Amino acid sequence: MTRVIKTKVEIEGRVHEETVVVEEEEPQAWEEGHQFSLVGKGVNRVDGRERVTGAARYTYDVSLPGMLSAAILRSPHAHARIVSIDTSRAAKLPGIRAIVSRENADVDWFKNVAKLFDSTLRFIGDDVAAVAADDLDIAHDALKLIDVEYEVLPAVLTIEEASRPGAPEIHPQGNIILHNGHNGELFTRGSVEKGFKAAEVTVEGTYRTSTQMHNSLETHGSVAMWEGEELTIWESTQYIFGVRERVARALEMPLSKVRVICEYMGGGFGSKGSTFKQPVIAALLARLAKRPVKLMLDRREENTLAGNRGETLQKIKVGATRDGLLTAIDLEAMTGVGIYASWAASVSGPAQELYKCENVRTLTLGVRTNMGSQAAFRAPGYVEGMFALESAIDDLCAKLEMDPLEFRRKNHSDIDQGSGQNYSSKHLLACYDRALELIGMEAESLLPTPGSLGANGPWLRGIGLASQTWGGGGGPPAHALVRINPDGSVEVQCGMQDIGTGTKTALSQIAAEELGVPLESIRFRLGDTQKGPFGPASWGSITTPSVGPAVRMAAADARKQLLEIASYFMETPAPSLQLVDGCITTEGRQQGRKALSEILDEIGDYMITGKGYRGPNPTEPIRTWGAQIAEVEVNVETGQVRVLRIAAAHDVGRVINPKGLASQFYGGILQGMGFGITEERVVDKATGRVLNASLDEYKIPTIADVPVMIVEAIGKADTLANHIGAKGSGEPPIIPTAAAIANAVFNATGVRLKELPMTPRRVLEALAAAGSAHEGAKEA
Amino acid sequence: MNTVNKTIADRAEITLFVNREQYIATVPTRRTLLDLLRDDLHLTGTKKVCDMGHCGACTVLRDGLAVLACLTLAVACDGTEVSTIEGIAAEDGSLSALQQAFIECDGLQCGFCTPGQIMSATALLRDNPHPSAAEIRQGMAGNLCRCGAYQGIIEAVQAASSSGDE
Amino acid sequence: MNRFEYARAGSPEEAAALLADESSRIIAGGTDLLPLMKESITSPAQLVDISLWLKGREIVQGTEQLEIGALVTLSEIVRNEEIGTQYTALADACGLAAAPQLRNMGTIGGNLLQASRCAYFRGPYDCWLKGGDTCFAREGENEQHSIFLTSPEQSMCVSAHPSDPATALLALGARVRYQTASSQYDVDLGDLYKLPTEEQRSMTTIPRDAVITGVVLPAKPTKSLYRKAMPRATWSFALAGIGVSITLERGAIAEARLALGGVAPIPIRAEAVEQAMLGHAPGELPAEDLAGLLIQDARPLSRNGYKVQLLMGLFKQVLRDLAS
Repeated sequence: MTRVIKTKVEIEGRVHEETVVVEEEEPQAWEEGHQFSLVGKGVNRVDGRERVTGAARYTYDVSLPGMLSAAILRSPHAHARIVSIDTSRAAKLPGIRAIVSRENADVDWFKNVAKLFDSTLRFIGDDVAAVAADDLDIAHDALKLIDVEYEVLPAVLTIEEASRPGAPEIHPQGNIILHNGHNGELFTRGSVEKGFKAAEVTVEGTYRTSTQMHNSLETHGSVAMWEGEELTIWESTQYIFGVRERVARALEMPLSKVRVICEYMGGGFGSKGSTFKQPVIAALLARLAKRPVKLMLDRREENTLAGNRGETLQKIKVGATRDGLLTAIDLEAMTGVGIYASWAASVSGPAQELYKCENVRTLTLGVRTNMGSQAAFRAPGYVEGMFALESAIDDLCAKLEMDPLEFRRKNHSDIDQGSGQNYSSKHLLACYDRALELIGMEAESLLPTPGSLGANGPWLRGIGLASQTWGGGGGPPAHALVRINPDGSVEVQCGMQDIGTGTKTALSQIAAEELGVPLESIRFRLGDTQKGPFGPASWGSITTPSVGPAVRMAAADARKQLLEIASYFMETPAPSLQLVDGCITTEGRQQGRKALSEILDEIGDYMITGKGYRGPNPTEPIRTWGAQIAEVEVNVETGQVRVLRIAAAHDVGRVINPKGLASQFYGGILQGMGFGITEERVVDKATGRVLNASLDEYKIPTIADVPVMIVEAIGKADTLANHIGAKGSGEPPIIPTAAAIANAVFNATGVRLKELPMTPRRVLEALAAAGSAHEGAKEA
Repeated sequence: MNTVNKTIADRAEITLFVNREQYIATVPTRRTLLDLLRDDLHLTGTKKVCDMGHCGACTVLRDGLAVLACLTLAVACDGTEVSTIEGIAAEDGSLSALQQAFIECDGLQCGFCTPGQIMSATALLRDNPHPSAAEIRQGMAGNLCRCGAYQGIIEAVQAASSSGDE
Repeated sequence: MNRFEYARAGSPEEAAALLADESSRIIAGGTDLLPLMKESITSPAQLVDISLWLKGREIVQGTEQLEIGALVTLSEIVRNEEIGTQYTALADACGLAAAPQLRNMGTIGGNLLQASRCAYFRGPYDCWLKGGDTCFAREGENEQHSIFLTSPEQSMCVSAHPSDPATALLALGARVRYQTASSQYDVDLGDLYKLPTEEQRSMTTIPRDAVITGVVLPAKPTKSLYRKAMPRATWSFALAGIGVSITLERGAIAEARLALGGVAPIPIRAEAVEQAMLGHAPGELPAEDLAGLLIQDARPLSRNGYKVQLLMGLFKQVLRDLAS
């Protein structure tokens, strides 16, 4: 039965009500305590072999007969108009097969804002023209032969400048993203004026975070191939169906004629959730050249135009009673979105959600600049917002002389303050307790007073705590098919993608568990819009809770059909039959056991096909929770910060594959650590050029930077959220790390770092400022 | 052995061994070993990530030494022996102890840096069969991983080193 | 990369002859040259590959000195026991430079001649060092740049010298040998570097058509070491690097050489501090006073004042390690 329903679905930290189509009834939930044979067991990646032998084929590795290499000429100016463009010299270069520019390609791209090749260029890196050539060196030679005359326009490069009244307008829709016709998004709960009146202690601070660049190791890029009117795109993406829609729309083609493939993907972290211009440009070049075209970004392009976590400027004020009850939180946040992004990251999410507080006001401004656009980056907004909030709370605790853990317990909210409802599950208090145990603290209370952990020469030691909240409930639509072949081997199909998180493995476990077959008999097919029903984007920690239930339901459907068939041959009612380890048995008896293939042999080429879909979400809000404790050393002479240990405990519902989950946790922590201490985009303020668009100058953590990481999931099934009991886990581990490190730095030095990353420059400057303030106080 | 002395114009004929197989190719002098492997020999296991020597993803063994293919000219490899990730498993397809350990310890996520990691680790264990954790951190420092699989990588190198057949 | 011809030279003589062609460049490890070519910072018409000159790969222990061939890689230096025990500063510096694969490829000769790491120099800016009119870093992003010799009268270019081994070798009093088609040279390593001038926009004194053949280390000091502050645990150019070597007589410092990298356009010596170190036992050096002396001539730029503090901190670390 097909039904149309409304349900709440959350994407990258924002909850929307969506109208979705669902079909039949879903299976009963796997309750807490359910006996599993595979779910919850740490298994190896099902495609590990391909990944360790070099056999895994990524988009970058696709090679087709006659394939050309393409490169793009990009704007050298942060804001300019093309006066004229002449590609004739480039066209004469031997080995050049196609050139596209505004002269021969009129394609809409950003609706009402810019075309694919626009005459107005709005950041260094904006697309001017593209060439396809016999090899990449020749393509680059040709770019130097394209003659363009530019009229340079005034550019605005910082969020402060762009948001100032009277700043040059750099975007047809204004410099600040509109929300219901107003600049920015205002949220209020209660009255902060009232809240601050009731406060006996307040703290305020202005916090800054820098632009973080994803630096997925596989750059964005595409291979395009035409077969008649049909187009196949290989794309390094987190959302094959999203690419299909975007490409079809740009080229005015029916969806049925565009196929998108991404079987292996070299990292995305959010940046490959939206579709960039490459697949369309590659398709245009391929059509002109009548040959397949590969168009991969190089590292500088990746770091200039393929997305980033925008910088933030956050003014936060919090108030509490003398006995430590929060009375008000007020946050005004600006977040840089670059030029073309049309949404602002949810910097205010933590302030709204984390603590029990009757009076909250947040204003979030998404500010445009003449810089490359932001793209979602693992918990966009929450990582930045959590740093400011948890720093301010830590300051408040210091002022109250209250243990930060006690404060957090005291201000814990049992219910969702927006809806007044219970959450589908919430084990945040257990996360605090567990993180404390994992870091090895004996005491009930967490924090020693600043400086009391002692020093090793100039290295002062400190410890800090921060919390995590995020969505991660997932939701419809998501579909899966389970096919059982005559030999008993099983194929699971879903039009989604494994971006390296281990999705394919976890979903294979779910399918094998529900079917009652060994993991090895499952072949999970994904990464091709033509080889499976719709699967969602891999973002926002939604994959397992969205697709997992669909896969389980498809497997249950297939099993039901199989047992009905077996019932005929085994002369036993289907409800008394079981499928265990690939064999069908009668409940409670060992004799008459039949292998799957024996039954399937009897029915010839009939293919059992199970169908599954993701049902609606419950009315209760679904969120993930967690806590991390960082132990650091700060060298007060050189300003260097060393992270020694991180303990992490997160509530992400039931764990499907603990091995894969631990990797997610480690990876999130390290990206959070990079954001906290080393990673920042450096922009030349005169030109708007990214000066450190390389993996040499932009410092991501190396293996030598890795702290001791002790990670754990609380692991309690959330059976209200969905029938597999899992919540998402991709985002949660990155959210509290930088905040915990910042609090640990404060604990070590007594100095509050209000700007990330905490590089030697910022640490030494903060220490010097605090020192001179201290001196000043002494003199006075 | 064919030796390049001086090229005529900007192409050269070179002979090299890749994973014990001989290749003879005429290449532009500006072609890197990385592009030769990936585009001409279709050995795409060696990855291109930065193409500037900043990440280690293109690590191969050249005459036994771990080097970056993106900063090695193909023409300079005339007469040399190159090993890539495709040549690490045994002829019968069985994985090396390191490859197996990377799977067991989940020393990878997206897998894009993995071939380079395994090549570096292979060289590391050959020179130092039982490295300490600190030596692994130093020895593997030239291979960046953005997914943050380092913890599993350290465990994998330790596991392979104690398995004794590397 | 541009198209180029490629030639192999089996000896420095052959290489020097091939370099007569104005647009020729030597390639050995290629770890600095190829990125410069890929970024179109340099576009030689011919590369002269000297990596097959076998003698250039030898380390020769003499009675009074140690000679390291120009083609010896940083890895080979790190692995060499003589260097590790007798010229520790050099082993430290090579071990802290770059990453394992780059150390396997990069040669000591090439390392000494590596180009500026300034992002403006490496990027599409017509900067002063490349022949333009302006040092963009001076008013721009200069967090990692020089804090010494920064006045325009001293150096228009404010980039910080990137070589760790050069700083260590300066502290060790090394000499450098190079040759052209007609002559051989043997100079103090300190004389290999000079501040760039209007006419000569280069940090080195070596002629374009010369080939470095080796580095010579004089009699070993009692103790030497090199320390480096980086923005992450490894694989970064130095925010500051300090090389020091001392010779003791009856427990007191009789000779001292202190060199700084990453803080000036070229590796520099801190002679006033060297003088002030004399006569003290390594464990009894007045750290605060010396650190103050070390930075007395520092003239930081708009965004790198922190480096003055950082250098003092690193120096105190050096003194602690010197005493232990």
